[in-house]
Amino acid sequence: MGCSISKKSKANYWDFASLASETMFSLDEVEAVYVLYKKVSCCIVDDGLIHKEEFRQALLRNKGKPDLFVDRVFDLFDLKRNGVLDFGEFVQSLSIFHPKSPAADKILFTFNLYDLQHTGCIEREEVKEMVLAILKESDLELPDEVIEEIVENAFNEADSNQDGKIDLEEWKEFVGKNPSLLKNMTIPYLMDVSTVFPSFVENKIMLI
Amino acid sequence: MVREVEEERGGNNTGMRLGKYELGRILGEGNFGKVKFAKNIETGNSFAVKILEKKKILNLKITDQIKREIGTLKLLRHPNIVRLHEVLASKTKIFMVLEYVHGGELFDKIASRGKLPEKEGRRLFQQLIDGVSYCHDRGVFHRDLKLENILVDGKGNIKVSDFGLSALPQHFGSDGLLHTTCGSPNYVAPEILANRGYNGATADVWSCGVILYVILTGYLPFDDRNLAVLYQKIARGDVQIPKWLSAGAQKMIKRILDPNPVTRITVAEIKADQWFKQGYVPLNPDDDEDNIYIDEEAFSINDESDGEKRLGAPTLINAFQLIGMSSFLDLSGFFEKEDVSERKIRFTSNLSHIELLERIEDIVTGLGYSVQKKNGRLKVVQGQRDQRDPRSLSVAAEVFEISPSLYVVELRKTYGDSLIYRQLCNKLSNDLGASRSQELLGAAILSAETVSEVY
Repeated sequence: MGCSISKKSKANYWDFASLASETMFSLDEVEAVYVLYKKVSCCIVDDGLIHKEEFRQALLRNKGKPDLFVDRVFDLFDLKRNGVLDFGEFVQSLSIFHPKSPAADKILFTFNLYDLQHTGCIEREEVKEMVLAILKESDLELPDEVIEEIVENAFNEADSNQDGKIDLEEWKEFVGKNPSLLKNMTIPYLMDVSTVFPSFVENKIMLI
Repeated sequence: MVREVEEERGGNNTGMRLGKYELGRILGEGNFGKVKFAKNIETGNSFAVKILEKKKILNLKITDQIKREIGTLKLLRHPNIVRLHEVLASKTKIFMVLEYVHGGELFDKIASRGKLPEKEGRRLFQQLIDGVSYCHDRGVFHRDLKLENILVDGKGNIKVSDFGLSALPQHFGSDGLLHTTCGSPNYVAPEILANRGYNGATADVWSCGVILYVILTGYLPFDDRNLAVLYQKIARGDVQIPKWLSAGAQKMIKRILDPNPVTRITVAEIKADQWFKQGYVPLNPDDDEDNIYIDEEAFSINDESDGEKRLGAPTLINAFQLIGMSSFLDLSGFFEKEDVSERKIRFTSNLSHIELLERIEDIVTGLGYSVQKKNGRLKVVQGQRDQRDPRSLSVAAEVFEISPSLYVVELRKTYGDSLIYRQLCNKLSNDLGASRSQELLGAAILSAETVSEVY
């Protein structure tokens, strides 16, 4: 939090009130998210923007190496597609993870997340790539045929028209049957983020 | 800053808004600042809001210890302890949203009606000890117990307020000890006066003794207009115990008001005392329906998701659910001190679902953990949730089937020390894992710090 004072002026650049009206956050919560944003945005380069490396570091601590999933999430947060996250992008994207956000937004986010190649469909190779990534992350080794079977099973269930890819409509239906797929799309901490976190309270005190 | 402006504009008028609360009349004014009545607009529930002026604490160092203290206070749930629901902040104030106790101070009750019959007094004392013992077990001490801090609800039950607050440094309690205004020096244990550095538990026991004395006799055991004389009396344990009290009550008071904290009776010994035990029904707060909070993180997340899951049936997960288990897709990481991937550990096994659950239970029971079963998950617990107990640990274990005869065991730590957790994970995956054991204890940087972000 070393940069908290120096950045204070930049806070005014953002209209917190309109960010609050556009997102699931209250004004106080936008402020609390700003505290988080500042912490992340100055952890490597103190330029008031979140770079991919900073995003990784905030999520993975000391193991901030490139990762398929983290990098995908970052790309989806990067609404302006300029390689960095400004506060507006950060708040708007994080808002999707709010417990009160509509499921439709969360479903769309997961669909885009898993559509690694931006083809508008989730394809077999993409799913296999992600399964391999999660297995590697968990230090699990499975024979290739087992992995193929896992992917195959998912497609049997999700790909209703059996054209070998999952489109958005099929995805919606699939998520409807498997609501736990949205598990990670809700961050319980975001409920009353400014009140649940005494640490934010402290941080706010520090800022004033 | 709409909320803050509103709050300023509202001033002392009723109808002032604070988030989802509407503030009302002033209930009291204490050491810490005003306490106001509040109503949750959404639910209509009543609360008491303690308002602390930030400028009074602004220049103080806000340490991790305080953060931890506040976090711990929110976890205290006991029928005899005034509950802290949440902490809110504006630019100028901190608001502690507390349980509203419909009743009054025990002080007023004694002041207006005089001493209580021994049986009634003992009942209140039992509740006091219950609440105090519950907090002590969780590493929270009161340090300023006195009649004024004890509320009596509509049903005549005790609610202790301000628990743990004096642990926040001096500013909050404004030293608490040397205040002549609210009479608290009368309740202070001799070792505090002697400035010897003291143990919160034995000092609280002393204050409970003073309270018991006041309840049963209607007056203070140590009192003098001259503070120096008062302190001298306390230091000597110079107390007159009325002979008309029952022998059991006399003995209890004598054992508590022992000026030597080392030989003074402990909470456990009080609970074992014959006089104390008469008509005593110990409360087990864990039986409280409302009290599943420890499971919040570990259990509630997928509760809504698995409607089809029957007890004992393994959860068959598909590719996307497997992918979704990635710690890297868990943005909670932004809000946690600890790396999510350190907290969630997975290993595969070829053992069947039932066999896995049984073996896990055997192994952890053998290591001295207790096990609870719920919705096909296991909750493994050791010790109380207490940051001062380095061995306390709570872990949720769940088994997923990813293909016939292939299962993934996911372990999620709710709280506890990282090293002990990893040792446990290592043991389980070595004994039950299908493939080579993971290098759980490898080069990972192990933080010796227990998790403090419990909010």
